[in-house]
Amino acid sequence: MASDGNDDLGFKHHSLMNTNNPLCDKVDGMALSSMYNTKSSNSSDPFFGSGWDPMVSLNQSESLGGGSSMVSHIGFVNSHYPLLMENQGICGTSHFSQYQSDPSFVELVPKIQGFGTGNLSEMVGPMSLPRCTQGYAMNHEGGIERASTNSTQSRDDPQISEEGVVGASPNGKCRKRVHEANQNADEELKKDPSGESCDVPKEHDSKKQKTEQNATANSRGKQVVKQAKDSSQTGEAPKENYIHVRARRGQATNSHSLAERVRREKISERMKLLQELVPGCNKITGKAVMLDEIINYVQSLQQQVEFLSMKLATVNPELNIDLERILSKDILHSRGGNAAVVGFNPGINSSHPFSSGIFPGTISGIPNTNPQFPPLPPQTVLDNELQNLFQMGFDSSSAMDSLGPIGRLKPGL
Amino acid sequence: MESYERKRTYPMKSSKVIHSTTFTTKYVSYLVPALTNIGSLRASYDVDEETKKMVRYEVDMALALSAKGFAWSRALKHKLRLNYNDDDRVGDGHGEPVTKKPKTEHEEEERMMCLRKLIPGGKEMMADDEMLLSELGSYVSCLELQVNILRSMLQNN
Repeated sequence: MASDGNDDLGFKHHSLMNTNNPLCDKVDGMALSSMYNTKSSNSSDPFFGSGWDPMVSLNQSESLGGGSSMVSHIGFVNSHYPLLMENQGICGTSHFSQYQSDPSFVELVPKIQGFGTGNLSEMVGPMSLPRCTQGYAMNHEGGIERASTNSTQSRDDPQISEEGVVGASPNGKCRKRVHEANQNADEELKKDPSGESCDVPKEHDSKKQKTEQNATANSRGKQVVKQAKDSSQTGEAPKENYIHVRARRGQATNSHSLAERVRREKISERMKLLQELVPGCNKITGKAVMLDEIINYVQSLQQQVEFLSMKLATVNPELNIDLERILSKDILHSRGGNAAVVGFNPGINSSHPFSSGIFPGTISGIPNTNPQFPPLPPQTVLDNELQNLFQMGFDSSSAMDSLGPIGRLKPGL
Repeated sequence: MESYERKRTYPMKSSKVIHSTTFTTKYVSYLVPALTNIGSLRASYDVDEETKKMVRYEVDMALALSAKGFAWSRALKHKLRLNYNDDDRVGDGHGEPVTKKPKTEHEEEERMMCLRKLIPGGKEMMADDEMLLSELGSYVSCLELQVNILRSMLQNN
């Protein structure tokens, strides 16, 4: 493939690009399944991993010895996205509260369709890069959320996949670095140490040179790339895998303050998530007040648990649990549906949809997918095995209905 | 070789996404038989402290088991086992009845300490604020689920 093609794909910084012409073709337009099939060569793996799946390089760059481990991430992605979508179905109406304001997550789902059906080119775009306005989950956390932000933000074109490779979990500032990267394909190729399986350190190298050259020419001149200052700190590159932070003009650029900034950003991301989790905190700005609210909420939840368990103890002998009924009661997303326990904070009964899947990471590998089981007479003796529950006729009726086959989730999102 | 590669499918940082349905089924499937068990053990209708303790234990244990993979759930499980063996009162499972809210001094740090006391295993998270916050998120989600489950269990009766 001509170098132009390489540029389009944006995988310029891989020296592999030059050698992997057939691979480029594949990435360009072939189905995912074919990608899997062609994974046999080691040289192709970093390519795939980097192009594919920022989450991979993000999380694993330190641990990735070889490109081969990239493969697993694709497998990971493939196996977990369906669960993720199903999760949305479970949450019913507004899905994950975390993502209510996060269109990126919602948009992920349609992309997953493409993924599942093997439209690779479609995936390459979205998977590529974090224009992290969301920021959260871009940082070394599990794949789904990262992928989600990736998908929203980098729909643009294959060129952006370069960004995905370059900055697995960057924040919004990083995209500029990537543009620079795009401008200097040749340099990257030349400087790229061959055989380096981890693309992030590579990107550090290439970025350093690029940004040094572009520092003055940079149209976004306000930013100074940290790496340019730390050009001697190649060894530290792996530490920066998670967040690529740029020093703003006028700010100190030593590693301490930048690390501090990174940490603060992570914390604020989590605070945002918590804000969506705790009802009534949407308008709160300010960490201390937010923390207060969280404390209150946790305390009230704990008190409720205590009260309910005491009550449960008193009625214990008459326990007559109907699993089906419990599951079909939409406790998952309508706390308001339950008759209020006297004296309890009605806050818990808000219509704030239940948020599962808020926290990034792997999805528990439970094949909790669609098939509708015929209702069976409820039994109270349950096995801990989930499958037994399914056999029991666990048919979380409405939840499952809204879940349906994965394909049906798409329109709803 | 591919199978070996595929084993490494999980990011190094093991954080989890909570499935509400999964959590619910696990929770109920643990708790119901446990409660039935208790019910059969305490045949009388007198609800004594022991029964309450046992129920509380099972409620907490169900929470810990249904949400595996979090630091707080591990800590909770650990604490439950310890406390139960010592025949101590588990209390609210967290050892701190009510923590007063900190005043404006040292605003954030005091509040973070407060949160650490609230969450099981929080004391082990002294160094890591981010971890604390993400653990908090999962903990709050699971607590909410738990409350809903318990409430609906009571309503069914």
